[in-house]
Amino acid sequence: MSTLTHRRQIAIAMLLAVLLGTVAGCVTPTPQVTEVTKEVVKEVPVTKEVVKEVPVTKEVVKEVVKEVPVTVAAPPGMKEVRIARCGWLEAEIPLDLAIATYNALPERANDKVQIVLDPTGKASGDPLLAQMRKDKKMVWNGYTCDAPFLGLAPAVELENIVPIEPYIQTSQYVTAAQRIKGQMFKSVWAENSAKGQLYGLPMVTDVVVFMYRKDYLAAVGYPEGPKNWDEVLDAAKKVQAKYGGDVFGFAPTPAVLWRYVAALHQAFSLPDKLFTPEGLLNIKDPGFIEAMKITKQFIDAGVVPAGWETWGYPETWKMGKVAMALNQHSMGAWGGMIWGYDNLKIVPIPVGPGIENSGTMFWSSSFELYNDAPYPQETMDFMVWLSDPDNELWQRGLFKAGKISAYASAYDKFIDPKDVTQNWALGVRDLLKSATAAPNTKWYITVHSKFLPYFISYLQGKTSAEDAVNKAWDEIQAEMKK
Amino acid sequence: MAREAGKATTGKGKTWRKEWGNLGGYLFIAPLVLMWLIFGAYPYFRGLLIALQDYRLLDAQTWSPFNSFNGLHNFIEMLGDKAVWQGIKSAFFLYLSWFPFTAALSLFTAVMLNRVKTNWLASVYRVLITLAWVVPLPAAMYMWTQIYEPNFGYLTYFLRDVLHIWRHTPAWTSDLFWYWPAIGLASAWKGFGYYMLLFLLGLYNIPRDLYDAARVDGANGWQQFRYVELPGIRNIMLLFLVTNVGFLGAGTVEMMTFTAGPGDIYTTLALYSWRVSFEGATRLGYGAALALFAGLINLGLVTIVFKTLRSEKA
Repeated sequence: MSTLTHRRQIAIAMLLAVLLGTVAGCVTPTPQVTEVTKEVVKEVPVTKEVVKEVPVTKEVVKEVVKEVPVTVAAPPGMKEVRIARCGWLEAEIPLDLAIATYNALPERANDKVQIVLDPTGKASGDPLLAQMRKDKKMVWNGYTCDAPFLGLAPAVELENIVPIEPYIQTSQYVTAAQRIKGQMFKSVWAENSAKGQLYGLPMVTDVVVFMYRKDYLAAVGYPEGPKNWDEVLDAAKKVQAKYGGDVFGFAPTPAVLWRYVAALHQAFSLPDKLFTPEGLLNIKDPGFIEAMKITKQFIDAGVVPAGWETWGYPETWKMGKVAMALNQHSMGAWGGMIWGYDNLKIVPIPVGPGIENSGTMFWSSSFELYNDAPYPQETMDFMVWLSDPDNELWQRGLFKAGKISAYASAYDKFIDPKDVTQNWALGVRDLLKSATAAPNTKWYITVHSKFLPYFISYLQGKTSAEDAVNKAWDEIQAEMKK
Repeated sequence: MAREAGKATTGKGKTWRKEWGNLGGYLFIAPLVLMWLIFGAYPYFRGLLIALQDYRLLDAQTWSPFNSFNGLHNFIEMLGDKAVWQGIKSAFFLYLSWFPFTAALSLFTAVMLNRVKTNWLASVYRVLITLAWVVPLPAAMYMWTQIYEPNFGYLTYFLRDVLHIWRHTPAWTSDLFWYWPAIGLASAWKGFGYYMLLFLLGLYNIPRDLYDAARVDGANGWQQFRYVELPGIRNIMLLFLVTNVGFLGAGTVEMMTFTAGPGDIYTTLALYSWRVSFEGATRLGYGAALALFAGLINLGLVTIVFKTLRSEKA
């Protein structure tokens, strides 16, 4: 009788393991995929008036206050709406609690929908999504934090995302949908649109502002803050002299185009000069060059914290060691959380010569609906419920987190003008309302990458501003032609 | 005749078997070979084809290798691209900034740890030293950016305000010179625990008899290290060198989180390749050509290491 040798036993075991793995791989359910073929609405639904609203929400909604896992798979029989997870967004605002609350709504028992945050999800511009779509294997429904000026154009070009307005229109949350359409700032609507259609639903919004510490400026004779850039420089020098280097005068962030110089540009140029006809940031505009020169004045004066060539000053600001800064407003709010809102002032960017009111750069972190998403309408129902300007859980949560809402009525409803911990948002709202959205183009990041080394080189005194923009411009054009 | 023919057949069969060995053996390696073909060979092959194409992620593409085929154009473009040469230079500096230090530190730590006689204490040391290795790279690099914060960061505070030995500390990661020691130290801290473990495994495999013999011959600690331990971990050192000599692939994750120097001027070739592939025009074809170029250089370096430091089985 022949016996199996040790080697043969191992060989058989390995083959069995491979076989088992293959079988397991085949039978492991890929959520929704099978159902997709039955249920997915391939065409974007025709916009129509919905006359029936699910009679729920505010009266019966109980906010889920304790941690409920929202990353586990939905039980069998439920429609699992998987949304690609965005870590930083959830770290700042309570998306998980909002999802848990939504999943616990009474109407979920009827429609059998469960929202799940998927940590393995892909961002909207990921080419893998196009392949999954081609293979009819799309398992995610959307992504929660795309910055449209950086990511919307590639995602639309790849056809990874679809227009969302028809789904908003047909949402079961009728009045919420109406509020979303009626209350979203025009600037934000434009920012989230491409080719005349709305693709993104803003979750949170950031606006670049001028911010300062009231106590430091009051101590050097500027209790109302500086009104123009000469005053900013003067105040910065005085602060630095008074506090002996323990506090810095002014913090620019030249290493990130959109957080600093693209916004400062708007203090020196009117909206029609900000972008080129093809949608690029107009770095050759005299106003832009003026913004560069202003920045260099601060660096040459020695009033800027070290590290401006790279990440800038966030820690220094949060420690309360910077008197003035130009950056996204949430940075200001986070500083206020640490060293006291009483000392924080957030205002529009001081104007340059001939400019009455400075505009500014802003961006949203937006939800985008994937093309061929398994449950598009169910997904948008959740997003409409979440983004409802009247949704206290979400809108109040945004302000608490230092972010702002894209909907006008949320400010009136949830901000107490006397509450210093939140009234800064009212000024930011006005800026956002009148802001000009950066055109959605796939080249914004290229402009940033090509311009940055020359800008730093200029600030270090190695080249002139004009030379820096001309060289960067040539490289950008060459890159676009490749 | 029939018997002769039978012999010939048997002989032929034996030759075949001698040549190819036992068929069962192939079953052993079949899963691995299959895995390698799918996840190793195919991506290489596909990458090579993409490097010969004007493949753009945002453009519609087919699986045909002749889709947007542009021959050697990507490689010719590479020769005139100053970012490529800057990227090679940066990758080399990055390598210099961490490799020698990591090699010395991990070897030294392993040798010291090998001499710890108390087992539980050795375990504690091993765990503590490898803790850094298990921290995800982006998180580790972000942590180091906090340490290097130039105004009130931990390092600056310690040197300037606690020890009072450096009044005007540099902006560690924004300074053209200090950037390299800064990222080098962070990378060494992150990686040396792993390499220490490798060396330690090699040291644990050295027979105790050799140490005893060396002691009988009157060898001191240094001589034991020089004549027993170093030769004993020769293969591990070869592995260490081979897996690290390909410096052109380094820098992507590190620099994304740590920054790539003032104005991103220290962008390495690998990071540049990633950027051209996934940003702007998303020129994956050009990015693949850069990666292929880096891969070939790395292969050459590995070959040199193998040739010069050939071990018993290499």
